Amino acid sequence: MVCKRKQAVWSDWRLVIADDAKKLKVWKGTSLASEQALLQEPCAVASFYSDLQLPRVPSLAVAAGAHVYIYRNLRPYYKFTVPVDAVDPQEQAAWQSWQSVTARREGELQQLVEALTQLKGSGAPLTQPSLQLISLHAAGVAEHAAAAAEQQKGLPLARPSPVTCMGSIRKSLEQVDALSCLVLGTECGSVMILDPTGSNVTHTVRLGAAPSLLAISGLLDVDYRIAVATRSGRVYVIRNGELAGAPIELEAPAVGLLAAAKTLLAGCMNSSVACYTHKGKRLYRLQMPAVVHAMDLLELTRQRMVTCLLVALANGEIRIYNGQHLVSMHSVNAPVAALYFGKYGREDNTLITITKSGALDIKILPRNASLEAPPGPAGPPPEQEIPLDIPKKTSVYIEQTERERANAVEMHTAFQQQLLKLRLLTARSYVKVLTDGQGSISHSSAASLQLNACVLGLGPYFKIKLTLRNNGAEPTYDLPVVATYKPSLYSCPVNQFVIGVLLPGREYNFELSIRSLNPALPPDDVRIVVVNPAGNVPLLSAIVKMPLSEFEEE
Amino acid sequence: MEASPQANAVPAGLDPVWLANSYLTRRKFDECITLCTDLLRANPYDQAVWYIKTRALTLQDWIDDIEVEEEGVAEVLLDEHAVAKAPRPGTSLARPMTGAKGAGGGPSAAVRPMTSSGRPLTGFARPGTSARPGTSARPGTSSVEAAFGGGRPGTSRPVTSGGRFVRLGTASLNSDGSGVFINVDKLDLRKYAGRPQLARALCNYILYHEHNPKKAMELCAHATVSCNYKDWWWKAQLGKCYYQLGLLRDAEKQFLSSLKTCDIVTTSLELAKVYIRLDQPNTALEVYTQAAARHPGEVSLLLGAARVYDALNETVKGVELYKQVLQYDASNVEAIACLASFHFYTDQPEIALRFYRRLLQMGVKNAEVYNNLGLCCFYASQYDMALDCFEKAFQLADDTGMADVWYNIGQIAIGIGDLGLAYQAFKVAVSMDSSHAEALTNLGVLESRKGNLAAARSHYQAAQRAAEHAYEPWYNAALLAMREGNLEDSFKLVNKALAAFPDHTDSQELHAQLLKQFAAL
Repeated sequence: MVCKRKQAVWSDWRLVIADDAKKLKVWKGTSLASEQALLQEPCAVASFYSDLQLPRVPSLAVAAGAHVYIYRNLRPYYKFTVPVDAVDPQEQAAWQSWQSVTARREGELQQLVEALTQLKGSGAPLTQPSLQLISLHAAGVAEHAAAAAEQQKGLPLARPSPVTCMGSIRKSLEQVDALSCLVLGTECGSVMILDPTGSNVTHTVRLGAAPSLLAISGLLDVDYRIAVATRSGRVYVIRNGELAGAPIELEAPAVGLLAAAKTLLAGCMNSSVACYTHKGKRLYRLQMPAVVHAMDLLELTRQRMVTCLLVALANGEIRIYNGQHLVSMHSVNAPVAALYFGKYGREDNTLITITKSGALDIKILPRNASLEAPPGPAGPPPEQEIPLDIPKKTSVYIEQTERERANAVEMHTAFQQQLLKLRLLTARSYVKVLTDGQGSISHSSAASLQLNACVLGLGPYFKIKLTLRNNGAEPTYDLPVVATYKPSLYSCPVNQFVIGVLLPGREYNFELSIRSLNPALPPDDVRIVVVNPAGNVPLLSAIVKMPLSEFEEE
Repeated sequence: MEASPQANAVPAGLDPVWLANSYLTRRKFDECITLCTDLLRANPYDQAVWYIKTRALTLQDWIDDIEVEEEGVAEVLLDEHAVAKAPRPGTSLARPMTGAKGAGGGPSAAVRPMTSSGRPLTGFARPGTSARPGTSARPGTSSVEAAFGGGRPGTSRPVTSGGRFVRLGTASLNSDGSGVFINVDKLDLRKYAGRPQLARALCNYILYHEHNPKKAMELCAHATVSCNYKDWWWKAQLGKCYYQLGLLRDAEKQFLSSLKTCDIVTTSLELAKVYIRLDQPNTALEVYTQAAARHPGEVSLLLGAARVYDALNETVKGVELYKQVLQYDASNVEAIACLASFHFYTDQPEIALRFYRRLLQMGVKNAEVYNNLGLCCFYASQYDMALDCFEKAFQLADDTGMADVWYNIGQIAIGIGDLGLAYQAFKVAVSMDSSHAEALTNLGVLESRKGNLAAARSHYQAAQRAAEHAYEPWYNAALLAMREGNLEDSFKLVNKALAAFPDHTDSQELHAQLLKQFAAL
């Protein structure tokens, strides 16, 4: 089972997973209770109570594409289609005027594109065909643009709005199984609240950017807040059907958004988690050692009242923060794809993690787990107290410094003399390297070449691989290459060739096949020489140490 | 060795067999063999002469195979003995401990360099041990080509270690020109197995002269049966045969059983060698420690354990053992050299200087020792002697060592701030060894300081190709790419640097900075 992304949700204390393999799986205890095929790849799952009947059985909503499939008792029950967005009238007019002309003339497509580009510039939301036409035209493939425009002929313009995220909100009572409604975020940048049956839209709020995450708190009929993180890296707060205040600008696009009691927790792509008030004031920021993959709230409500933040990181760590304090940490072997904390089966406090490798891991919170934040401000880290491991100065060192003090002048003059000698030696060797072409790197003014040679094979047939590289700024032309060897030991059918051109910065590979004539004899060196056409000294040479050859099999 | 005809002439009144035995004990093998050949021509059934000749031939070709650990292409490529595909750090030789925390307080990879094949550098080079191109350890390189390459670039490794032995054997036959002495294939091994003394000589002969472990194994098997599985020597030989044939688990069984019968140091050493080949360094260490407890004062066991610690990058534990070795054997070159290099890399060059001086006093005079002495003098601020030592090193160095000496000259030049001299020295080093990764990296840094960014990049790339395990070329190239604004390349390169050395702080900082840039984009 290979699943890139999974969503999990609670319903009747079972675990529902919709995965990328288009499967809806329900887990009960440690076994798979049911598995159903989905029509499309799911993007979100939520559970809600759509009526007041007893016993309380929740409905399950799976969002895929522009539809929400609602299941009751694990049977398909109803399909809600997100209403199609209205098309901008000016865009409609532009397309109509273009389509109404029967005989095509030059420049008409240009007119259409210009009209659409102007519309786009003015900030109007355009349909997919219009955007495609503009981008094709901008890319300079006019015939493709024309074909795309022709294809659109006769088809109605429409702006379908796929669901991007989904959640549920309780209507008027706080109980877990109270009547609740679905909340949808759509691609065209609006957030919709449905009625409890899931068939009509009751509220719509336009944001202007595609939402990616929802964090819902409160009751629909009393007072509620929906925090919406958009792909543009902002968080909008919807309060009782209205956008409240200016959006919160995050440091980086959000990967997780949670609503705690009075705060919002946003995990960002720059491996940090920031805590904001609903008004948009940042309270604190936690820096994580790796990228945040998933987040959830750890809320204990029965014996103790604790609210902690669970963060799963790319390095496989799962951290629990109480406020700003790290209270617990454990690690799973693979990066986490989804993380859920809550009631499962008969256990109140379980943590379910699904890893990218497809493993499902269920942990139970121990009753005596300490999740309280340590009192007082955090002091300096304990590492500060450990002294650095610097070796002690030895008595030998002291003796040497005494010698140095006594003979400072003599030592200095001796060193300077030797340094002069060394400089001379180095300069001589350097000049020799530049001029005699013995080495495998040439730095002469004409060409700066580098040659690597290695031998491959077991024998008696070998292959010598030459890698030539021009490190200079100018290309070099017509370089003869010669392989020299003892003719009594080796034979090489092509032992010289001319390299037409060596462009700077590129690597060129050449191969020479060479044969050992008598494998019984000890091997010898083969010398590869790049000849300088202008002078009598080679540009480069490389010595290939030939290996012991195997005997030829008859 | 001039085997003059006079040597063959047996002085009057001297028993020729006694003379042959005397030649053998005096290690004059050529004379011994010619004399025995003559005697055997006269009387082919003389068992004493046959025995002496067998011993002479064996001793002539004898190598201390406890020290030699060379793996052929076949062993590297078709290595099926790896216990874990992704071993935990510190449990496999292919994945030594990295970083200051893991290294048990020893110098970190930022200070202690690696060999050209990416193993932690020790103070002492031994055949075959410094090079092991793991097929899986180095992703990205075409592993087959990497396996064919030898320790130094441009060289190649033998097809199998067995193959290397066979070739040695045939080459020695060729040089003899006298044909085969014993035709092993025609021998009735069962008959020889009944005569313990002859059989032992024959077994060694087959292993060391003929290099035919299969046949030797047959003989050993017959012999162990004939002595009711009670003879430790035969079991150890059987283990050696299995080891040479690559049947490591069988070899392990034989050595363990041999140790149970009789506790011998060499058997323990060979058993540990089996575990090292199986890539189970911790088991090998256990074998060494237990044997060392049973044989106090046995230097080879301590050295073996110290080598394994070194290879696992747990230098501090290794150093303790080297110190113990010196207590038992004050002139052990390997221990002195390793201690010297340890002190050098833990910022105590004055102590290292003492150790190297001791090596010189013991008569170890080579380019490497002088080179190291020069470095120690320089860093211990004994400037008047530093450059003298390098001069001596130049006189003694051969082609491969010369590049390293020039590289160190470059380091000294950087130390005194003479970048022109450093540049020239590195250029010379690179011209002598075009795959000297350290020199190439330093050249790249010098070029980038001069502003020749293209040249710097090509130097880094050459260094990366030459030494994939070194983090410096990757990090420097990442820094260069970052400065040029090429963030994506920089990110890829810094990831490579971190893969080579996860605890490198500068790379980590660059990585974090890049992530910040990406998040901001």
